[in-house]
Amino acid sequence: MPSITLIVNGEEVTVSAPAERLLLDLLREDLGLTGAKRGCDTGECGCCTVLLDGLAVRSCLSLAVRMQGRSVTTIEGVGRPNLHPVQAAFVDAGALQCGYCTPGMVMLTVAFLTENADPSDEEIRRMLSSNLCRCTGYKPIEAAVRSAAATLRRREER
Amino acid sequence: MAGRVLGRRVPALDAVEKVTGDLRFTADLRLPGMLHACILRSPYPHARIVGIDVTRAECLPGVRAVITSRDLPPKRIGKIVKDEWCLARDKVTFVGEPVAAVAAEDERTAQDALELIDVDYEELPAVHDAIEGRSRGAPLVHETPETYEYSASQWGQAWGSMWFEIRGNEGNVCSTFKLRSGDVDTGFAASDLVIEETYHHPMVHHAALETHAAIARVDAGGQITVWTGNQSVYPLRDMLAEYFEVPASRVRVVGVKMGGAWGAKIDPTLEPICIALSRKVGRPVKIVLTRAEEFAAVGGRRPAWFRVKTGMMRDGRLVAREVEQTWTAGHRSGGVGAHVGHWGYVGAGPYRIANVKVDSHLVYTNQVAPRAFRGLGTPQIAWAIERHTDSLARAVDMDPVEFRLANCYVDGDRAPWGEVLEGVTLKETLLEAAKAVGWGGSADRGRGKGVALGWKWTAGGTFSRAQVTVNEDGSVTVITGLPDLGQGTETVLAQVAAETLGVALEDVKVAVGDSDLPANDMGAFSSRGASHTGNAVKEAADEARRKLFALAALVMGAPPDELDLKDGRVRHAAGSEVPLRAVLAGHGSVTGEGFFRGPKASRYDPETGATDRVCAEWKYWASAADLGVDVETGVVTLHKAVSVHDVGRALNPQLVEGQIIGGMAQAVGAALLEHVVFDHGRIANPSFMHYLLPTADSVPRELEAIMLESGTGVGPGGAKGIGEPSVVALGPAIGNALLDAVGVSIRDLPITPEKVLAGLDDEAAREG
Repeated sequence: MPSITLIVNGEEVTVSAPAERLLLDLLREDLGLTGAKRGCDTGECGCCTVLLDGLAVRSCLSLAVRMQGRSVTTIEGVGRPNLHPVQAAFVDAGALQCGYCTPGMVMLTVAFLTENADPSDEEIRRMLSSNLCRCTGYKPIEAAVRSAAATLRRREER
Repeated sequence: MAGRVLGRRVPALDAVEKVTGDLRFTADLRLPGMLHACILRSPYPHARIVGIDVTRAECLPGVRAVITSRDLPPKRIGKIVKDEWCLARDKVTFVGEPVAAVAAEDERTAQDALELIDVDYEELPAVHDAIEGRSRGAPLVHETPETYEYSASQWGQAWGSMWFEIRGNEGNVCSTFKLRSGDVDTGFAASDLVIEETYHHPMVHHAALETHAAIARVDAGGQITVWTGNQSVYPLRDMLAEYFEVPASRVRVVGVKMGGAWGAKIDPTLEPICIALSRKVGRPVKIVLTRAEEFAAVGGRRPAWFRVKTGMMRDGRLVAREVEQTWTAGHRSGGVGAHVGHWGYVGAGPYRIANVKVDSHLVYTNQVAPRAFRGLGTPQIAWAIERHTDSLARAVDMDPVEFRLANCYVDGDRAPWGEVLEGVTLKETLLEAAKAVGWGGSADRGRGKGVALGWKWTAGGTFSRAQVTVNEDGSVTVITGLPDLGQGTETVLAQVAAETLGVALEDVKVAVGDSDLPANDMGAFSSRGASHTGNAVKEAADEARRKLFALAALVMGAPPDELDLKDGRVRHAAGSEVPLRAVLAGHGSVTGEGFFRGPKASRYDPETGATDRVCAEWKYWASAADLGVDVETGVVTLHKAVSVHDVGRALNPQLVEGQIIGGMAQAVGAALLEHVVFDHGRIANPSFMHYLLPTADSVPRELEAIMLESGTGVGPGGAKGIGEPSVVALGPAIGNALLDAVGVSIRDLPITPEKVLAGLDDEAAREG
């Protein structure tokens, strides 16, 4: 069985990776990182969103064997020991209910705000449309993204 | 009524563990030695099982156990009525029905083993929907329903024989209900005009992002432990104990937090299969459903058909209404027959009508059984009644808001079954909703506004038990059996305890959802949690406080009734004060117990539905929509949606708003996008690629929640349960806005561009 070496949340790990293994299963089963969730099996819901070399990807659509030498950040690699501003904004805005989509939404937002520090409301809505949330109606999530963006900009200015 | 803690906007206590991904859902749990199981499901809607051969599957390396119906107790299971096999026995009754299950070292092996199970089926004629099921000569889904029994669980006790009769039904009809008031024939004869329409609400799916999952471990001593996301852990424990014929003390249900539920996670689903496998192999067994299985095996909102006939005068006064409801039971009722009464009572809508006749029928079909889904039938009823209301207003050329104001219930009105309704706030909510969308504004073609009313009950006679412990250091532990599905009840219960005791919210911890905890609670459903369990927690906190003051009185030499608790210190009116720690030294803690049973419904007359009380409480609300229609493409764009709710008291406005806005988004989905498509018993769209959910850019720019606080609920401070209402009235408001915008009346959800274009063509043909 081929083995691959990749960086997960800043640490190098080597795992065996059968050809059909998905990144999501590598994270959840092999590494015990269960923050990324399986919601749909087919790439529509975004609950499994992680960062691959800084970009948001669906880990249920990414093959583990292609991760050789790449850097993966999961929700477990964000905001420790203190909450990331995106996470803090989600808490304050009530941008979650059941919490199942939340790790994916947070990762999506972290990647988005790295690319676009001052997004318009329209851009926020378009970005959030790539992931599903069944509880909140998205409005509190939109508010959290706006608020996190403002916090990150203030932090940048300092 | 904002108190120190209660009534404040406070983020959910578990929000941090959710944003960090630390919160574990059932699929995230792993037990030592755990096996993974998969389920073989029926490919036919209705077929006799001639034989099952599992020998090839058993021989596959890595397979540890294969079970069929013969490995399970030879009996059916069900919430209120036991009418379902956990694994099909003798015949299958829907596509997706569990037939056999395999536990293996890994999921892949279990999946592979399913293909090695040989099942010999003999296909039978099937019942594809409830209308077909009611027709003469339809094949029977259940041959001997009169032999079924009520469940011994809390469900069966609370609602079984109280609400419906198992025996005496015909064919596939498993439950009926009649509401009668006045005489509709006389009413129709006396009316200036009579309008009759039919409406249909298809199945829409809960689509909780977490699919069903469960883990069971049966140890060598026979002790059963189940980890599962379930809305009612004590009733589930009791149902499993009844099914496996062991005492309740031998079953422990560890309630894991749920990634969305809305009624889908009340019934036993994977638990009995997991237990049977674990028992057979002596190791823990886990099952996690795929998304396609979730669609196939967990039914969504109940498909229903309505025939509504109304007689009225030219001035808009309603005289008579006859409603015939046909509801889908699917492959089993589980005892939802108990709800037929609910649907019948609210079936004519919240309007003053002297002559009313409602007949409701629940019909077995060869489809996956629909489950409770937020609103329990009221979204379907509102779709029919509130859309019909706009047809009536049009017929007499009245404004839909004026028409409703002239006819809707007001305080003190008598409902058709005889109950006098109090605290009715329909007019207030309607006026507020109309104002919020600028009612009466635009007359542009292609732009329209609509309103709809809503009413629903919280089921009567359900109970909650809770404990509140004040620890030596002044911190507080609340023990409750009310699972939090994300709506935030855990936080609200902590607020109730903190407010009652006079401690800070940060000092309160909530232990929840483990059936070994001494807090039997019927669970999270029917918008009862914050109100019912809230009352139990309040009573428990009051008792803890009394016990604490009795101890403090000894320490302080002051009468208990002159004491007060604030900021972790007991204070005497005269000025002395003692820290809690000093009061509790040598006692460890004090614990208070609380119990609340909601007002109980009275026995009703089966011929007329007459009774003096039908539920624990009523809620009233109104929704409004402002939309635009592209007449070239038929696409509807919602500009703004508003829901105005009498919430009694907002115990935590942030969480209440969250419930309202979230429910409105689900209503938008059901109105414009969602539809589980059945094709000869098979679901044709079992994925989010083909079953469309609302996204951030398909919900309206403006979703507004407005809360009125009448203080008339049964909960703490007069709070009402608010989980379900927001999903009910917005759909018909959207349908009514479409009618206003382009004159197209759609009676079958969802409102797709194709239906809008077809309606525009019909309209053009009529005018042309």
